[in-house]
Formats: sequence, structure tokens, C-alpha cells
Amino acid sequence: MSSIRLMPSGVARRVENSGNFIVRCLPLVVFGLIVFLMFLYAQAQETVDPTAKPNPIVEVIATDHQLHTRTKYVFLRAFSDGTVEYHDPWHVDLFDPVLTRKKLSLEQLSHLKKVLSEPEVSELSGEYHGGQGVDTSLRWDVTIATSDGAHTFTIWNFTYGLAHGPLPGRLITEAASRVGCAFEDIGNQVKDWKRHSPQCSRQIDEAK
Amino acid sequence: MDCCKHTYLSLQSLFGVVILICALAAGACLLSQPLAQGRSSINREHPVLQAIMVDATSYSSHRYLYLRVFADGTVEYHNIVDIDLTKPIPLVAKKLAQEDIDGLIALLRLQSVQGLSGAFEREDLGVFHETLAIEILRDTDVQKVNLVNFHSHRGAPGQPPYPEAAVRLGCMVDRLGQKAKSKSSDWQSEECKNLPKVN
Repeated sequence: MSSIRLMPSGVARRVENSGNFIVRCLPLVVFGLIVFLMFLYAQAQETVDPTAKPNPIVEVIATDHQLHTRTKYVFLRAFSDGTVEYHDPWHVDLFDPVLTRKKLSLEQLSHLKKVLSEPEVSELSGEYHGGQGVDTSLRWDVTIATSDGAHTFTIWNFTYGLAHGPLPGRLITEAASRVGCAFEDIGNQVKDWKRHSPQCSRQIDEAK
Repeated sequence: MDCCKHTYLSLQSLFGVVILICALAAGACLLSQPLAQGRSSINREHPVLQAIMVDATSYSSHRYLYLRVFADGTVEYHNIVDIDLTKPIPLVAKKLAQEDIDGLIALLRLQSVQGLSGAFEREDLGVFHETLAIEILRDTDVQKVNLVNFHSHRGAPGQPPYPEAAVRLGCMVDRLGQKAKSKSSDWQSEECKNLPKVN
């Protein structure tokens, strides 16, 4: 079948060639464009993502059991850049339960890291028990980030005194107490509180 | 030549598949957004009434949904017995009996209740101060009534006593809340029990 040629043969060949070139390259161009757009998107995500966070160092999730209620909240979450976040369990808006964010000083951050990297602290595991409460208890689930993942342990009633005797089970060890006091200390600093649990008061007195 | 043509065709179809996948992924992404939003939002008609509780002491405060009632009998509320702030806070949804809803609608139609507005105050409950912010969604507007320290049942010095319609409204919100929260006892305060019957 002969085709109708309206153009001179040289021009027609060039147009045909360029047409072939477009048809041949179009998928490549589209693909390249998609890859380029994906690259731009990834870059944008990396640079403007406000939720991007530094590495967490430690997290303490508290569960406060009162006579008829139970409230679970972030007691403390500290990050490698010194950011800490926590819930204020005393002022709760269930429509908008926000985390408060503050920044630790370099000194506070290095003290926390020092305590967390103590060899005795890396050996903490299972549950440690403080004093008995009257129909109440406070559980701290601690997760410390390590190079090979995370290690966890639980401290019950750290802030309680021993007026009603100790809880049954393993008591809070020296190392667990140092960690607990470090958490309490940071909690006090960021919340501008001056409350010390009996065992942290004891540590402060001993340090004097 | 045939071989090149073959390669070219298979490359072209590969690119076609890639583009198709991208388009499908983008489409799925776009479609999933409204669906996800739809799941989290309340896909019902407007509520008939909602009550938000704010309670406070000198060292604490709590704000939560005490009760939200829909015309189909569905009620929602925040569970304040077991709170987990580390996760999104869910609303508990229950269904009330039609007679309960009918009772509420009848109460809201009373002229005396329609006339309520602003805040009604009673004495604090010791160190405890509470405000039940009630919104009644009428055809054209929202009627707002604040019951302050309703549960103390004690008149505040220098404040006018709660009008009977405000007491009726507070008792109704409490009663529906109690039914929704599956409290087995049908306990009512003396004040609520002693309200005269409405004709």
C-alpha cells in the first residue's frame, strides 16, 4: 500500500525521524520527570517536615491508679538534642491532650546521659517497688534507648514514702533510685516544681 | 532490528506499568484521605444537645465531653475513669432507648427550658468548682446554658436560686448520662426526685 506524501521526501523523513524520537523518548522523559518529582518531594519532606525529631534517649510512661480512676500519660520523654516532652496530668483537656515541650540545658542533658549510661543502670530490669499507697499507686514504665535497641524496666510508687511500709516485691535499688531521681529532677525543672520524693530528698541531703 | 523493536516495546510497556502504578497510587492516596477523615468524624446528624464539663480545683483542671445526644438515640461521652493520654482519646458511643430521647425532646420543648440562657450558679463543692456547659441545638440557633456547681445542691450566697427549668435540664443530662454510662443504680438526687411532674 502506498502512502500519500504531501511533503518533500527529505523533510518528511526528518519529521518522521523526529516523531519517532519523541515516541521513543516520551516514556523515558515521563519516567525521568516522575523520578525528579519524587526526589523533590523527598527533599521537601526532609527539609520542612515539622514532625521530624531527634533520637529519643529515654521515655517514662506513668500510670496513675487512684481509687476509681486510671490515667496513663507521658511523664517524661527526652531526646538527644535536649528536647523533653510530657503531659501535665493535673490539667487535662480530653478534647486536646497536648504534650508540653521544653528544652534542657546542656548541663542537664549531660547529667541525664551520664546517669543513663552508668553500668548499674544498664543492668536494671523487671520491676522495682517503693512504698505502699492508700488505694493508689503510680507505675513508671521506663524505656532507655541503647545502641542495640532499648532496655526497659518498671518502677512502682517511686515518689511514695515508706510511711505505710514497702510494697511487696523487689525494693528500689540504688541504681534505680538514681535514675528515678534524675527523672524527678528533670520533671521538677521543666515544670518549675520544687517537690522531692523522700528518697530523692535523702540523696540530696547525702550529697550535701 | 526486531530484537531492538522488541526491547523498545517491552521497555515502553514497563514504563506504562510504572506510570499506571504511580497514577493508581496517587489516586488511592487522594481517595483514602476523605475516607480516613470520614471514619474519624461523626457521620451523623447534628446533636440535639451536648454538655461539656470543666472541673477545677486549686491545683488541677479537667475538660471533657460529659454527654452528647443525637436524635437517633446515640449518645457519646469521654470515659474519665480510664484515661490514656498516650493515644488518641476515643469517644464512647452508646444507644439510649427511644423513651429516653422522647423525654429529652419533650423537656427541650418546654417554654421554661427554651427561655433559659446564661449561667446559673451554686456554691462550690468544697475546693471543687465545676461548670457544665450545655448547648441545645435548635433549628436556627444554639441555646447555651451554663450550670455552675449544679451538683453541690447548695445555693450560692448572693446568687439567685436555680430556676426549676435549669434544675430539670441538669437532672435530665445527669439521668441520660447515667443511663449511657451503664450505671446499674437508678440513683437520683433528692432535688431531681422531688421535681413536680410536668403536664
